[in-house]
Amino acid sequence: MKKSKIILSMGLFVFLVTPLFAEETLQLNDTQPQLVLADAGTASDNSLNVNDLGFTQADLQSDLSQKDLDTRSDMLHIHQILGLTTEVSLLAEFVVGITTANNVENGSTDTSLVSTLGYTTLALYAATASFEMFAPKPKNKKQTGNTGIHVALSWIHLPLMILVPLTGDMLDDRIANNQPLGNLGTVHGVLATALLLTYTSSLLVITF
Amino acid sequence: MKVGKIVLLLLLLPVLGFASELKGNWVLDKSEIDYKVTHPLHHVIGKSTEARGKGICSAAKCQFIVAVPVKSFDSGDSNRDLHMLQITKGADDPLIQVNVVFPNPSNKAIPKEISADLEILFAGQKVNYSKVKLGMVSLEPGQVRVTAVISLSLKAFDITPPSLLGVPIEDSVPIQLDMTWKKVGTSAVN
Repeated sequence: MKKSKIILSMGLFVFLVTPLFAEETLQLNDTQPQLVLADAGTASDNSLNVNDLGFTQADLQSDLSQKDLDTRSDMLHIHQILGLTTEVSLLAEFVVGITTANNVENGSTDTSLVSTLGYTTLALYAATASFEMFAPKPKNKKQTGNTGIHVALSWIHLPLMILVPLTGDMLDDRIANNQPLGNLGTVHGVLATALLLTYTSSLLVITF
Repeated sequence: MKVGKIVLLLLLLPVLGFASELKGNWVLDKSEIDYKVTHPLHHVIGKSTEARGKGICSAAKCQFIVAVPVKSFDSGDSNRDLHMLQITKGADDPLIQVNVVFPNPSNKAIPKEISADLEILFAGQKVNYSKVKLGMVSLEPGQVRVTAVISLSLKAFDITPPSLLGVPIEDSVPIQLDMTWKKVGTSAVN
């Protein structure tokens, strides 16, 4: 009976002094206080700190400020809306262009509707492009994915958007002055078709 | 006599060190964190392998911290990534920080699954998720693979869902975590 009491007392002693050992651990591990705090059962929200993870300024700093990102987003939203409007105008222009070409073949000299629509499309296109061109963008960042294809296609439809109205204007002059059209009508038609295809592809690739 | 021995054994159990294999200090060795965005016209997956993390497991509980820069996510489209950075206020709050707490299971082997409480700091907001299931696989001694899927609500983080052609993305964005943790020096928690 005495022996069991001694064993029990020893057990109680070990049980009671365990927290004291934990305290001692706390003192021995001053260099890593957060670990000791966790071990001592005194949970602390500060025991693990994000600053200890070793992220550098370069890892965290964005190429654009939040204000620039917001401005960019707003401008690209307008670019999106204007781009869709331009597509509608371009499609209308294409249909009216075919009709006008047929009318001219039948002796008509009225090209006012196709001209007006052409200039409207050009103005809409210029506005669409400017909202993308002047939007803040990160330096030296390569455009990837569908955005990369969208931008690459712009290098095709941008010159076409200059050439189509130019050839259209030349055609207008020749029709108004009753001059022979030669191959200009065909060239204008091919360029206009290429413009419609590349511009529509550019729009579809960013949408789907 | 018998009673005394049993009591002694019970009292000494914690001291004898039947601690789980999780006990110790951990660092995130490698990781892949994916987010999935669903839109009627698009299903987008953005990935980051740049998360960093640390963890401490005492005999009683485990605490982990994982952080990943918002700008490190790559969805395969540069413009989409910039838009993601903008809507999540990534320039002002560049890190997604996750604090994980769970009780250290008493069994010695690494458990297959544990239930953890998560505190996620993202886009300047703090949201708590309780009892999130984390899958665990012991790869080799001192190395554990942890997987989980956390479904984040954009609304909860005060993020306006981006839209395409006037249709916003779904509010729920599942985040898939696949992390390999490595045990480092354990002396401080013994």
